[in-house]
Amino acid sequence: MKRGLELKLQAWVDGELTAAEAEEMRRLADADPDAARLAAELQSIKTAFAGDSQPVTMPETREFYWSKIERQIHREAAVRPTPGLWWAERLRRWLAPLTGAAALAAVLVVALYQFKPQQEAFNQVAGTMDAMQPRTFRDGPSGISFVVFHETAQPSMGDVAPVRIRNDGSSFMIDRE
Amino acid sequence: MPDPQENSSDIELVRLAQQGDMRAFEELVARHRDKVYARALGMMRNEDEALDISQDAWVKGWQRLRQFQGDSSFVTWMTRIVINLCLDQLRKLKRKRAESLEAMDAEPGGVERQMPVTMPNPTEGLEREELRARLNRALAQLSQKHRTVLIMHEFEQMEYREIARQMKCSVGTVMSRLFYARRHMASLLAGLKRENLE
Repeated sequence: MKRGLELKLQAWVDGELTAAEAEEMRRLADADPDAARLAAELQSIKTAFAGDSQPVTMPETREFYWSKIERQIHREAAVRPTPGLWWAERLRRWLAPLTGAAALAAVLVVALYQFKPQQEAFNQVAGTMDAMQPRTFRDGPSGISFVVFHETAQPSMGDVAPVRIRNDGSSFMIDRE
Repeated sequence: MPDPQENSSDIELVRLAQQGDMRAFEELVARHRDKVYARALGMMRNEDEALDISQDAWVKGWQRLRQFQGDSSFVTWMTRIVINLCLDQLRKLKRKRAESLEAMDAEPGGVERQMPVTMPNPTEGLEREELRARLNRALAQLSQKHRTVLIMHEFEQMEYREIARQMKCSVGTVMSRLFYARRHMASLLAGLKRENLE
C-alpha cells in the first residue's frame, strides 16, 4: 500500500477526513484486506489509549506542591511588572535603547561641535586681531600689561586718544586724556 | 469547616483567580494537578522533571490567567501550557545531547512501515492495570517525537493541525509521526504479549 494511502487510512480512523473522503476509505477497507487489517491495528492502539484513562497520582501532597508554586509566583512577581502595567514594561523595553541612541547622538553632536567651532574661533580670532588693532599699555610699578582693542576695523592713529593709567592699589583705571 | 471554594465551578474559580484571588487558584491547582503532572510525566518520562515542569506550568498559568477566555475548559488550557513547556524542555535537551540512534532510526519510519500488521489485537483481554503497564513500557521505547505526538493525539484529543502548530511542523509530518508511532507501539505491545505468554 502506498504511503499516502496509509496516512489517509489513519486519518479516516482519527475522523479527520471529509464525508466524501471517509466514504472512499470505508470502501477501500471493505475491498482490500490489507487496508482493513491496517485500519484495525491503528484503531486497536487508539482504543488501548482510550482504556488507559486512569489518572496518575502525584507523589507530593497538596500543601507541599502548592507551597512551591506559591513561592515561585511571589518570587517572579517581585521581578516582573504587574500585568496592569504592560505599557510600562513596553516603554521600559524601548526606553533603554532609545536612551542609548540619544546619548550616542549627543556625544557625536558635541564632538562635531567641539571640532568645528574651534576652527571657526581660530579664524575669527585671527580676523579680529587684524581688524581691531590691539594696543598694549604697561604699568611700570605694578608690572601689569593691558591690551586695548580698537573697535573700528581700520583705525587711524588720529582716532586713538592718548590714555592715562591710574593705579590706586586695588584697581586700575584707564582715562582718556 | 469545609472550604466554600470546594463547591465552586472551575469557571467561578477562574474568575476569582483572574481578580487576584490566590485561594481560588490554589483550589484549581488541587483539582487538576494530577492531570497536568500526568501529561508532563508522559512526555518527559522522568518524575522529577515532570514535577518541576508541572509547577512551572501552574506559575505560567497564573501569570497568563487574564488571557484565558474560556474557549476551552480550564484544564485543557492548562494542559496545553504544560505540553508547550515540555516541548521547550525537550528541544533544549535535544540541543544538549544528540538523540539515541534508536530514536533517529525511528524518525524516517522505514522499519515500522515494513512491519507486518499485528493480529489479533495486541492489547485484547488485558486488565486495566496490565494494559497501563504495557503501554507505559512501550511508550518509553518510542522516540521523543513519536511519543509526544501520540500523547497529544490520544490523551489530549488534539487534531493534526493543532499538534502541528504546537510542534512547529507540518500536518504531513504529524500524520507521518503518528502513523509510525502507532505501528511501533503495536509491534512493541505484541512483543510484550508474546513475552507474557512464554
